[in-house]
Amino acid sequence: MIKFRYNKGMVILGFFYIILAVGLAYSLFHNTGYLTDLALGLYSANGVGLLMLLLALVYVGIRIIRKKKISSIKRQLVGFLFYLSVLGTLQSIGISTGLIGLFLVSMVKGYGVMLFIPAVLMIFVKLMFMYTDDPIAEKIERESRNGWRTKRVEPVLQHTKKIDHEIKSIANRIRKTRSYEKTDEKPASIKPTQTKEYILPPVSLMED
Amino acid sequence: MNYDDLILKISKAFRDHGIIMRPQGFTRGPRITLFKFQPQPGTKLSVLSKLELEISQAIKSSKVRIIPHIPNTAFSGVEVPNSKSQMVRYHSVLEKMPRTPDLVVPLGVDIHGKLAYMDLARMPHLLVAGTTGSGKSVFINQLIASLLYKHTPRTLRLSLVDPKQSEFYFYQGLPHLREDVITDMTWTADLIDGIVQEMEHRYSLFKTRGIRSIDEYNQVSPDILPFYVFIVDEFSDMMGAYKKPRGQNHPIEHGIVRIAQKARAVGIHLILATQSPRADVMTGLIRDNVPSRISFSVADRIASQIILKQNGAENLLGNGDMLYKPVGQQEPIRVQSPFISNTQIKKLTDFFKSQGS
Repeated sequence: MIKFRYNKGMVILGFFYIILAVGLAYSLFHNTGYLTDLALGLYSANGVGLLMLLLALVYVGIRIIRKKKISSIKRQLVGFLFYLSVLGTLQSIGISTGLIGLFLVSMVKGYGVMLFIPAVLMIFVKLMFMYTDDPIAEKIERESRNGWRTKRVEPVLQHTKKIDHEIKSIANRIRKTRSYEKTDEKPASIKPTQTKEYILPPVSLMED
Repeated sequence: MNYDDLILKISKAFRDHGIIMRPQGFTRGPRITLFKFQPQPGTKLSVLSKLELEISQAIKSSKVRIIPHIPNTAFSGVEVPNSKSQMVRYHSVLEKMPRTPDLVVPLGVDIHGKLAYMDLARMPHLLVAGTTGSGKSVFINQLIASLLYKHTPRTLRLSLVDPKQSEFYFYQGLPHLREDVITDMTWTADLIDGIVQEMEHRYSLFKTRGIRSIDEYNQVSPDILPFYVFIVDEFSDMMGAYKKPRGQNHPIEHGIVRIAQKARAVGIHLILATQSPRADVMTGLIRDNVPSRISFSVADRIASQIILKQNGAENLLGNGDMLYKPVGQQEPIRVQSPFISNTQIKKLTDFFKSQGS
């Protein structure tokens, strides 16, 4: 049974690290700001963290259904509530739900330390952004809010689809033409330079 | 509460935090009073600005702003909002404005009660930021009105971009306009292209005559080349209307940067205003090339940092209270912008429109 739990844990961990690694690799090779993207990659793994939360809940549920030792479940529930109260406090100062998920998984016996390290790292990055006025940090914050999947994973998925790629290249060609092709056309409503003599208004016109 | 009491309370609050400050008098502006203090030798000035909340609490006020060092003096300053605000009327400002055919326009009344001006020709481009109700649109309206008071359509041309479709509608039909007020943001890329072409055309005119600036050109040429001012009321809408093509420049940003870099000598000036000075709207390239800034009240310190490169704008009072930071100046000047009503704008625009018909 212990072996089974260990394997299941490894699957969860492996899944987490693969997605994180893909996100980081994509950030590193497709953008210019390597360091900020590295930080972004770590920080924006919140989506993965949220998944971890769901998996943890399912795992605890399975344990309950399989009628494991009551004392063990009790211990886990007490631990769950304790962590929830601590992490609820963290969330109130801006630590997101994803991190709570990571902590929940990390409390499961056997492989907590391995998850604890990236979780602490993510909290550090988050706190770093909270207490700085740097516009770069602000940008990262905003990008993260927009969602890791939208910003990082979707483009990868789109690249794998040939038809999307074709559409993109056609759109790019159109945009390129628009940007670089110089025409003599001006907006239709441009008026000719005035030659008529006008009188300037008197100051008294502005009296209240 | 009288001023002596305020000075005592501020001094005491500083002393409670281990800083000895000797009062050196005060100057009263329309909405703000500046109390001057001389810090004891050895005082670290950067510590002062961290005490804004404590001073506010001590004098039971809000939005107190501390100036660690008043430029060209040995003093530090504490700006406290007046209990009774005084409105700066546009007519009173206009009366004092010299009517020379240049681009010097009034900003408003400064902290010493004196009239402050800015020369658009020297700036040469301007970023303006401020949330709703901060007085940004009123300021832009008074700026346009001041330009109209100095220039006929022969010496000034305007392009106005108004995504909200409500700020510039008074100017529709004004003979100074290069084209109708633009409300459709999909036209703006063409407009920017048009300005770039105009700029290149002017440079080619200068080149054939061996001239370097618009002032020289207007002195020697029989045809006057008008100043051209391009004003955008909500720059973020203009930027947002176009997506940045992958691997290429953003069409608006690219055009704006080109104009900002080169257009000063040919008499083309940009005034870009926004409600939300975000880093993706006011990009690094735009901020580098548009060095003069005006900030009205903004939402937070980050917005203030983006527009002014320093804190302070988040503590402004709104309704025309602004910080003006011209090119080359480290410390911004606090100014109260004059109030111009819609009736006044209408009277002014009708004056020109009636001559056109």
